[in-house]
Amino acid sequence: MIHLYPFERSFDWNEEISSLTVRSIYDTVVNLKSDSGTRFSLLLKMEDYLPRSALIEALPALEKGQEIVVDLKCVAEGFDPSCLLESPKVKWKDLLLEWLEFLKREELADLLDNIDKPEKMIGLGPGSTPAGDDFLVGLIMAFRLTGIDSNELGIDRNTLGRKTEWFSSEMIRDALDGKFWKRGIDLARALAGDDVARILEKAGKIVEWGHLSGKAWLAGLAYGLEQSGVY
Amino acid sequence: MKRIEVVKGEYYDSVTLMMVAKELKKIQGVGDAALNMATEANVSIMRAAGFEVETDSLSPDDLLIGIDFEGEGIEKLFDTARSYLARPPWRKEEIEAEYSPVTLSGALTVLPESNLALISLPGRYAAAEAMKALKRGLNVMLYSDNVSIEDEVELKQFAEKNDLIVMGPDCGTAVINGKGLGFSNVCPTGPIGIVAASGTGLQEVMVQLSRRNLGVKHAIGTGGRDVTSSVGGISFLRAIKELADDSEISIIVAVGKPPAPEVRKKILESLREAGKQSVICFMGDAPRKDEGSLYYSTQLEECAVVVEALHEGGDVTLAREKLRTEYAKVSGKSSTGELSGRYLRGLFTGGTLCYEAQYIAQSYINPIYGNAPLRKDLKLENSLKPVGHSFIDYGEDEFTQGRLHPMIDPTFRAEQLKKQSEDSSVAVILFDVVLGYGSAENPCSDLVEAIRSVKRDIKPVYVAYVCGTDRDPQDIEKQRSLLESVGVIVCESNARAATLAANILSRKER
Repeated sequence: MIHLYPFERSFDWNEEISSLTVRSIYDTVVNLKSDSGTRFSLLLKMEDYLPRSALIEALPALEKGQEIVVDLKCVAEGFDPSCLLESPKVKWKDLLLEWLEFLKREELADLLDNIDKPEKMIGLGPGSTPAGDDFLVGLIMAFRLTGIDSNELGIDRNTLGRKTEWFSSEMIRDALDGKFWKRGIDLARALAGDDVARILEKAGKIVEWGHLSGKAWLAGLAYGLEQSGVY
Repeated sequence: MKRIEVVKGEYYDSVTLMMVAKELKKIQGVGDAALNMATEANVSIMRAAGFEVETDSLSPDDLLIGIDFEGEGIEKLFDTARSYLARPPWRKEEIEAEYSPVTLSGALTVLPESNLALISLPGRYAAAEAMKALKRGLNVMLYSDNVSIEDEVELKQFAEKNDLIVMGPDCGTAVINGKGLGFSNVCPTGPIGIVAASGTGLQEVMVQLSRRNLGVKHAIGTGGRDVTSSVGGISFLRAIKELADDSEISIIVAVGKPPAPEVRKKILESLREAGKQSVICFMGDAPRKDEGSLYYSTQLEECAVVVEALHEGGDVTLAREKLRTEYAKVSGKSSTGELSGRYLRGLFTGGTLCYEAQYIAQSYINPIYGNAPLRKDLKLENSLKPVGHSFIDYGEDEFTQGRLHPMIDPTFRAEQLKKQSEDSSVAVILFDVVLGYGSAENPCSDLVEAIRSVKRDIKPVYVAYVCGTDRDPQDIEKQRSLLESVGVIVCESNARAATLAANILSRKER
């Protein structure tokens, strides 16, 4: 059994998991699954932080299905995925609303057709994480930022696993629990401030994420803020 | 095997189409690849390249993909083309790139203090966006061409009522507070203000001023149609007023083709009222005597020479005479080696450079045909099949609907250069190369390759002008050297190049 030793972890990964199975491997991210089906991730880059993740100096050669142990003794706390957030400033409204334009892309037409039916968005659309799921996570974040109860969306967290792929279902579940990825939190913080260069930098880190994921996420955030009545 | 595929109702910008075509040409076995929006002009060009295009159900919103491939599996190449369009392979992962707003509202949120919008869209969409910008209180630089005259007048009248200006349509060049917009050379900032109804005319004057260490603060383009009767010079007059009111500007330069008589009258009145020394260069105009603070020139380099003399408090007449002496020396260099063929072909990317060259050449050779001739009766029936002495402007609308301007993508003009070079009736080929921001990274490489590949016992004599400064990103010395490496005679101005090219032929005729 391989033991891995991260040097920093997110606030919400505070328990020793004796056995994790390698589920997916990317250049800078490895996603792991616990016996109970929960996702954990090992990361090389801080900007990729997401709930239940840890930073590591280097990733050894791993194979899908391989079992590993992640040693969290004496590992510093870094990213907090559920930090309290402020609502974006109204002056950024026109910039935010243009993110809805992404839904006019042909590949995202299904999302536009179901924009007012969150439950139908689950697992909908193209992408390794279906774009509908990315949209929903952005939408849930907007609700959280503006103090709206995400239960209003009527998403049944118990059936998520049947409706979409594993990583996506975990992502939506985390969002419903008020936990988000670092790129999203960084953008939300920027939108709550006055520094336009910071907003463009943070939005830039999201918009090109995946083929459509980042765009769908931004569209969800914009739609959610529009729905919240804040704008 | 040459095949065409039509993608219905999908619009792509011409830069993307050019880049995809370039990527496809890199694939082994691909002899040619062309991606164009299905405008009438592009269909003609693709047919001329040997692609069979059925026009029955085509509209300008459809995309044509043409591929010439030796071997089996051409279908896969069309799949590749579509995948390149969806996900351009030359685009690096842009995770770290800054977000760029995609709407006017979004852009104004980011830059609320903006006062100028640059609009570059297909002509049929551009006017509506320009009006939106004007209604948001922004001046407009309308790079797009193919905008209707009615739309142009409406936009300009609205702008004038609201103390704004519309530069364009078809305004490719402007300099505001020393910063270039669109196609622009890297020139010093200084006390000269220019208003121009011609893009490359403006670039040539700025380049010639720069070579004389003179800088420009504002260079305001108006689009060529502004000085016609239909538009009435609305933007030209507005620009003169702005330059007159600017205390940092000491000399005003007005450049363009000859305006309509009533517009000319208003322009001259406006320049007189400005109370500053003004140099007027309406190419093709009959020579005029200077009057008061107004000085006239009929050529672009001469315009810069007069400005230089005024700026230095020198003798304008002497400066003109000196220039004429230099032109006479250029003419004297026209004895070349063996000359085969009878005709001069001018192959231009710059519309005003083409116009000026025709204007100069007509003093030596006649008639000169073209797609934008000096006389309407000399218009070519088919711009792809020049006859006699012909000058072609590849930046004309017929060549730029749904495809890139030849200053950005030199490949089409290079193909035509090769074709004309192999025409046994052609003795001399004159061409321009325009450098600066917006132009191709290495514009001479395709031309040089084309010249090298010419199959003809005695090649034509090539005469060229490189319009650029030593601060332009393309490295002007490198571009000149490239041309000279294949025997091209490179001149110091467009006027000198035209003078030399026409003289080579006229000497032969004598």
